[in-house]
Amino acid sequence: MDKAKIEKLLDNLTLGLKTDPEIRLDVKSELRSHLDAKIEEGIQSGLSEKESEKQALKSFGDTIQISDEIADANTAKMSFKARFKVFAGFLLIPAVIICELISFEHSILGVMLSSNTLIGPNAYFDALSRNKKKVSWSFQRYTPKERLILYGDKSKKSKAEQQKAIWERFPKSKVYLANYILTLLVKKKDNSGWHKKMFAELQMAKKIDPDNALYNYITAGLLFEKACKISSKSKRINEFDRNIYERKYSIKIKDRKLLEQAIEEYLNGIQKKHLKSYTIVMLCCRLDIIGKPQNIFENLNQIAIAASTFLPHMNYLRNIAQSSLMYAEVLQKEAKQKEALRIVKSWKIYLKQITEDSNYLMGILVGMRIAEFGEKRIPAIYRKAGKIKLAEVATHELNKITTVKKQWKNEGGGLSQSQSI
Amino acid sequence: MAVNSDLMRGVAEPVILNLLNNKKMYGYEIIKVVNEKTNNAFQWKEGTLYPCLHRLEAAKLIESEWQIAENNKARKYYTLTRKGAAVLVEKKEEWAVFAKSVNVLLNATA
Repeated sequence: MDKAKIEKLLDNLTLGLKTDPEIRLDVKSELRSHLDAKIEEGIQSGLSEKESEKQALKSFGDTIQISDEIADANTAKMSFKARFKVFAGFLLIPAVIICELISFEHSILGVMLSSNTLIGPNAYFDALSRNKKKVSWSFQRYTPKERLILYGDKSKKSKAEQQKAIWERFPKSKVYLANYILTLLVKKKDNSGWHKKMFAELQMAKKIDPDNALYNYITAGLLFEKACKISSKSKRINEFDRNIYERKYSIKIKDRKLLEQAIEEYLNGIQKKHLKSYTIVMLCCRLDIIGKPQNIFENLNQIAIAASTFLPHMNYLRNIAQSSLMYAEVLQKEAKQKEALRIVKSWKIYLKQITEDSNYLMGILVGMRIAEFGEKRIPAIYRKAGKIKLAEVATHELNKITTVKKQWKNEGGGLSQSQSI
Repeated sequence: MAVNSDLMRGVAEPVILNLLNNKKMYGYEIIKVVNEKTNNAFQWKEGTLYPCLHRLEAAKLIESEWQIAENNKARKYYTLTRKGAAVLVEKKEEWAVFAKSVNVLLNATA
């Protein structure tokens, strides 16, 4: 018997079932048993094995048409299997993981389900602390003081108030103060009530932590936001490379008086000893309390706490850089050289302050972005003011920062090109 | 005289249901019985039978099971389901009306 020929025919007849090997194998076995029976009967009726085989194979007729018809007839069964596979992959496997978690810690599901905010890393964090009765034994090991530092006072209504409670308990701590102010900033609302409260709290924070530029810069950022609008348009300057483009910025002044107030606030920040957002210190405080995770939930909690560290001030720091510099250009056009130079000269300190407070990758990237923004503008303003030496120094110093990004980008581009070849 | 395959298409399913109404059968056996009983007027081929069997199974009118036959070889046997039995009754009635109507028309002298 020419088994290879038979297998080839069976392969062709079941070609339409190739996406489902299990059904294909079943149909193949059925057709093979049919062929075997037919060949055997042919032999019994006096045909040679070869002839019987030839006739049996021939009896199937047009294999392409039959293959299509067999595939059509089995579509429903195949779809069911496909659905089952999806179900198994997307529901059963996570279900098994959830079961594992439940068996490990029975209260987790209740904690998760009772959360109002199931989206985002804070969900677990929120649920955990809001449902004190459901909080598992593993979290009971924290003292009330530690729980306060970890989650804030969850009896308070708003997130900012919850975090404020930590600072109220330890009013001398500049770390908890910054944590409260930044939480308030995260929960920014576009209404006068929020702005009034924010400015009042910033005033208070400036008095408590007089050496810190953070509160001046947040104040300045909020004022710039109201006083002017910076918009940008990107234009490709290389038709072959979509990554090479030029961005043109423009400033639209909405309230000049407010803009000047914002500049003064920014320059007040420049006079300060340092810029400290304390975000990394706050995170370390919390991670110290958790210590070495004792189970998977403490591990998750550690991740949730790290992931819920927000840096809302970074956006304002970048906007201050853009707004102040573009306003300096406006002042120069108005022949107010002295005022323009006062802003431009502050840049070096500003960038230094930001870099020193950059404990996160985000901070470093924002610092780089600011340097990029000033790279051409600052020397240009100096040159227009006749300060050629200062222009050269600024070019050199800003280049030192931006070169890192340019080199990385260029080398990255080279790598992607070689890979595509 | 062999029956045209277009005519065969409409009757294959009720014929299979009726055969399985009497006993469980495997594919090759069905072809043999059909061809014998019709004196080869119905020359069923594998390409006619198997897609038809799989369609009926997908519609849950028949069900299949692998069994070891007397010659110790595995065969896939088909049996009629309850749903299949109900459909068979309908199909028989339908066919009776159809055949009667076709006969009337074919024997009519305008």
